Amino acid sequence: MQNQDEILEQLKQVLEELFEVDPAKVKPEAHLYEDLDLDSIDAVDLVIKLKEITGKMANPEEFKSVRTVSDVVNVVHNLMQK
Amino acid sequence: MRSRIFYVWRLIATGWCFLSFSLGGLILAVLVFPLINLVNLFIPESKVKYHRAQEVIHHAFRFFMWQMRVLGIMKMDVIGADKLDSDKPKLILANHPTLVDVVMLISLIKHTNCVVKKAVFRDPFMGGVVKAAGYINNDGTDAIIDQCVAALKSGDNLIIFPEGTRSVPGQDLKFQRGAAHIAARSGVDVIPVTITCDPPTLSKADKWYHIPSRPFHLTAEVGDAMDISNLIDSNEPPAIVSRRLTKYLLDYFTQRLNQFGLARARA
Repeated sequence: MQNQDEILEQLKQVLEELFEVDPAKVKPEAHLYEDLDLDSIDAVDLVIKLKEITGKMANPEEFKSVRTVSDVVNVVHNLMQK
Repeated sequence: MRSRIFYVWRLIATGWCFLSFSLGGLILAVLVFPLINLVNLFIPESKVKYHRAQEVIHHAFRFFMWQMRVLGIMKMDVIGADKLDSDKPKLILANHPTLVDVVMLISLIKHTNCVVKKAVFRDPFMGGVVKAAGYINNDGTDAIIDQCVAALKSGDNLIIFPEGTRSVPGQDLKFQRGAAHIAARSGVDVIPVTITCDPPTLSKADKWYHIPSRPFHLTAEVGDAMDISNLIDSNEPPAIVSRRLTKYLLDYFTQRLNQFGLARARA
């Protein structure tokens, strides 16, 4: 079981690898679209990547309300507790 | 006094242009396109679907641009229009300062597809036009990327404004990455068109009656086909390729617009 800090660290790696996002910008309150310059096409890639990592598919409805980095961390955290 | 009369004239003429645009759309939808559908029934379209309707719109928009010029609302200069003539499918990318950019571009290209926002498909005047021409309905999902690539692969030309909406006057250009995805996936020629409007008018913030102090001057500079093959590496994830390509496109348009700005300051 990973805690939220570990998930955040892993998310930094994923965002850098997939989208060349500077890890220094990946803070819990950072907004995915506005601060990290992701778009809806990237969001699909991110969901797929998170599925690879966790082995579980995030509920698309749950992911629709995701806005910030900490939202993503929470979704992943909840997934891993299932 | 004379300039005041000319101002009132241009205000009335502008109102007429808005009205005639909608009326023209209705006339095409009610009278012309049913006729074309009938012709298509007996003489199937040879190459690409929707070409006949697209060509009718091209001529209608040529007339509209001419009408705006003879009424004294605007002046128009196009540099390198012949680069839009080739038969090969092309992705035409342009910045988007005004409401009439797409009308001007279609008036320069005999057959082309374009992406139209959902509301226009439901518009009583323009809905029939955009449906008859097979234009792509931007429903806000990423499925339009697939539709754009499919249109280009079927041999259609396609106009895309990478900004996704009209420019904000006085602010730096901001591009979405959809255009880069379409360019990378379709592999067709990319033709850049740099549009300027002086003085700025018909932006998103302007109502139709906010006309400029003098006739506006619309210019379109058609660039050479862009060599982007070295920016597209099929082994790389599309997210990375689209970022690199978007930056390249943004740099190109920013640089061209700066050149235009300088040229105007010197003139």
